[in-house]
This record gives sequence, structure tokens and C-alpha cells, in this order.
Amino acid sequence: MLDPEERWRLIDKLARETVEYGADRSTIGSVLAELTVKPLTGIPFALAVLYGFWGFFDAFAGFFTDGFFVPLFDDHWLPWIQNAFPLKGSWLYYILVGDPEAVNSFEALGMLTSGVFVAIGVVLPAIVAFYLIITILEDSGYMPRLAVLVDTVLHKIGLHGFAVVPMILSLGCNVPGVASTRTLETKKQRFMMMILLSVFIPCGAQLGVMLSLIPEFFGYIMIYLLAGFFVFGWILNRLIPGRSPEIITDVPPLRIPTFKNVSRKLWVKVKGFFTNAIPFVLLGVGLVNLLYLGGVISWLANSLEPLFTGWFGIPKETVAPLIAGFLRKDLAVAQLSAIDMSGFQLITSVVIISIYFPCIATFSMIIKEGRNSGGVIKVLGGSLLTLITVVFLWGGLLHLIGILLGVA
Amino acid sequence: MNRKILDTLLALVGACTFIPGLLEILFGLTGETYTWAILSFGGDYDLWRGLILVASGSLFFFTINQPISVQKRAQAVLASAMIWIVGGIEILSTVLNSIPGGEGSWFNTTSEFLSYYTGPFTPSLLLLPVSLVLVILVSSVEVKNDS
Repeated sequence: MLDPEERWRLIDKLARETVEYGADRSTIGSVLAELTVKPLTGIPFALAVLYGFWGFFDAFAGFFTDGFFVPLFDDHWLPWIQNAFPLKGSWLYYILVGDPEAVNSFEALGMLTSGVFVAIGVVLPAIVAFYLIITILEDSGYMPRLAVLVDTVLHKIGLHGFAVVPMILSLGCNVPGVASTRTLETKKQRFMMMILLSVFIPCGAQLGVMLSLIPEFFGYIMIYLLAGFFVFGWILNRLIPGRSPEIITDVPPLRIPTFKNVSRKLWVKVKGFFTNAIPFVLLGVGLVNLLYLGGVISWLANSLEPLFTGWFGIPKETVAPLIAGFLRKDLAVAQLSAIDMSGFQLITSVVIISIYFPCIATFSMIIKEGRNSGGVIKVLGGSLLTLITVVFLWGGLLHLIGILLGVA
Repeated sequence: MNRKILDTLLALVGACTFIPGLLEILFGLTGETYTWAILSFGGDYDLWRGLILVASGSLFFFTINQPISVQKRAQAVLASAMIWIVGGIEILSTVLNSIPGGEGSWFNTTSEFLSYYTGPFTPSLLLLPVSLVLVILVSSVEVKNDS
């Protein structure tokens, strides 16, 4: 195998023998493509692109959720199903419809009320907006440029610029994010990325719920999670043995995405959400309601109270969302917003929901991909050890910060 | 159009982008909002918007004194594209906010709908048509040195 120095010498030799140099025929497109990868012009432009990303996300998801789905579910669907569903007062009514006196879909907590509202009214618009932008960025050729721009930063934690692809995919859903770690070169990089993604990168559904329900705390939560990504990335890079090689990559030209390709990709992704995510959301609500009825939630809340209030500084009632979070993080965040707590406790709870454990779908993917990244047992053991360390250290540190600032 | 006139225009648009950007950052840091005539500073993401406008204004300044080339054109287009992204999002958000009605009705009444379009506006929104004209002008100038 050639080392990077030898590879470059070989490339120079091949280039001398094969490339003919003529007059430079730069076009606006080619110069623009060049400017977007140069740090001086590329970073400010990336800042603008990310602004466009969040601005679109905010406007689009807000339009559908606040403008139409909230009135539809709160004023029409909820009162109708509360009256039309038979067996009021039975356990079946409690699981499927929830609280018969609830005045909004969030507080009803039934499978057919909160479950359907979270899946369709909150997450679906967020997912469509997110995947639309991601698809446009992919098809325009801008994504590899972003990879080049963040290459230097990611090198500090033993990764390279193309690790931004799993990162961005994970912002949509952690499952394809974890699956795409197989494009990284070494077992060390794959393991690191799988853990960091599943712990510190919230999925599009969770982001959507956070933006819709707690927009005032969104920035703080994201900064703390991203700080955790780099701090634990740096630590893992030093602790895990293995190589972090350089890569040479081709950056494609900028192109205008075609409507046909964008709509086709968007449809495939949204269809995946309908078939994979919605059953999990409904199942999550049903499971939590069953555990409530069986007294498991109150037993767990009482048993874990010293840890929750003492170490993390959050109320014991967050146990139920934490259990729901194993199935769907977006559902868990939605349930958190209905619990009475201070702003700082809400920030801490959302951070804990994000980092305490990946959702079941991501966890299954980590096990599957673990086979190619050092063996299932090794990856699973390493993951669990890292997860426990991260949740105690990073969650406890946030509580400590709150105490020092006088807000916890 | 000769280079001198083009550079003057680029400097003017650069200043009109850079200064409001600085003000947006200032209002973002203090958390205040300020309205002057139809111009408004502050609101959601103002710090972010300010940084983008300052960067865009700086890029316009970089293009001054360069010979008319593809490089100069591309820099002006990139600086303008940054304004278009911010301004475009403002337009999209105004349009989408103006459609749904409040309690009891699905859609806004005509007068409420139109009230969203009477201002005040953020600097990026007002700069959007100016930068569009500038890009058309820059593109229409003949390139003499293409290397």
C-alpha cells in the first residue's frame, strides 16, 4: 500500500504523462464552484446556506403545523374522537384516546390523539421540509463542498470531511446516518461515528418537534449537543486504537437539481417515514399508556427520583418520555413539553432524551453495522460503555452549569 | 459601462449591505428591535442574518479594483446569492405566515392577508432587487481579461 507522499508522486507522474494544458476557459459556474470550497468565501456562503436551510424548515413546518394541523386536530379531530369513541373510562379508551377532558392533542396522550397528531401534524411537515432541502443540496453538488469545508475541523477528532455526510443524513434520520458510516475507511472511524451520531445528532423528527414546541431553547440544546460531539469525539479518538487516514476526493461541479429527481427522492424518503416511523410513534404512545396503567411508570419514577433530581436536576415525571424515547425521540420531546418544569430543566431533559440511548431503530442498525466494524459484541459493549459514560458526564455537567449560573 | 462605474456601483451595494449587516449584529447582541421608515432591524435569527450580510458586503468590496473578469463576476454573484437566500427566506416566511387564519377560520381575510405586505421590511429584503439588478449589470459587461 502506498503512503500519501508516494501516492501524490504517482499522481504527479501520471498527470505529466496524460494531461495536456491549454488556455483557461473559466465560466461563472466553474469559478462559483471553486469559490464555494475556498474557506474565505466558502464558509460565509455555507453560513448563508445553513440560514436558508433553517429558515425554510421553520417557515414550511410552521405553516402546516401551526397554521392548519393544530386547528384541525385540536378543534375538530380531538373533540370528535373524545365523544365518538365508546367505552369511556375503560382501559382501551385510555390507551387509544387518552384523557377525555384534554383540550389539545398534545395533552390527550392517546394513540389516536397525541400519537396521530405528533406523527402527522408535527413530524410529517418537518420531515418533508428537511428531506426536500437535503435532496436539493445533494443534487446540486453542494454537499461534497460542505465536506471539504469541514475537513479541517473533523480531522481534530480523527475523522475527515466526508464524515459530514453521515452527520447530515443523521439530521434526517439516525438509521441511514449509521448505515452510511460504512463509507468511512477504518473500523475506528466507523465505530466513533456510529456512537457520536446516535448520541449527539438529533434526527429530523426530533428537530422538528423541538423547533415547533420549544424554539426558544433550540439553539442552546444544539450547541450543547454539538459541543458533546466534538469533546467526546476528541476523547474517543485518543482512546480507541486504529488509523485515521487522509482521503483524496473528487468534488463534482455545481448543477441545478431537476424537479423529477428531487420529487422522486423526496417521495421515497417520505414513504419510508410512513411505513417505518408512524407505527413506532403509535406503538410508543400505546406502550407508555400500558406502563402507566400497570403502575410501572410511577414505580420507575419513584425508584429513579434520587438520580433524576439529584444528578440531572430534572423532575421524576420525565421517566415516561424517556421510555417513549426508546421508540421515538420526537414523541419523547413532545411528551416532555407537556410536563410542568423550568426552562433549564426542559433543556436538560431534552439533552438527556437525546443522549441517554439511541432509538430502537438506530440501535438495531448499530448492531447490524457492528458486524463490519469490529464485531457485534465489541461494538455493542463499547457503545453501551460510551453511552453510560456520556449520559452521566454530559448530563451531570449540564446540571452543574445550571447550578453555577443559578438557573438549575 | 466602464470599470469605474461598475466599481462605484459595487462599492455602493457593498456599503448598503455591510452597514445594515453590522446593525443587525448590534441589535442581535442587545436583543432590541428598531424600525426606521420601512426598514426594520432585529427579530428571529438577526445575529445570523447580520453575519451573512457583513460577509456579503465584504465580498462586494473585494471585487472592487479587480479587472472585469469571470472571477469578478462570480464573486459578485456569490455575494448577491447570499442576499437572495436571506431575502428569499423572508419572502417565503411572510407569504406562508399571511395565509392561515387565526381562531375560527382556516384562511386569513383579504385585509389581514395584505397587512403582512405593508412592511416594515428587513434590509435583506430591500437589498434583494438591488442585488438582482447589479448581477444583471455585471453579467452584461464585456469580459476583457478572462485569465
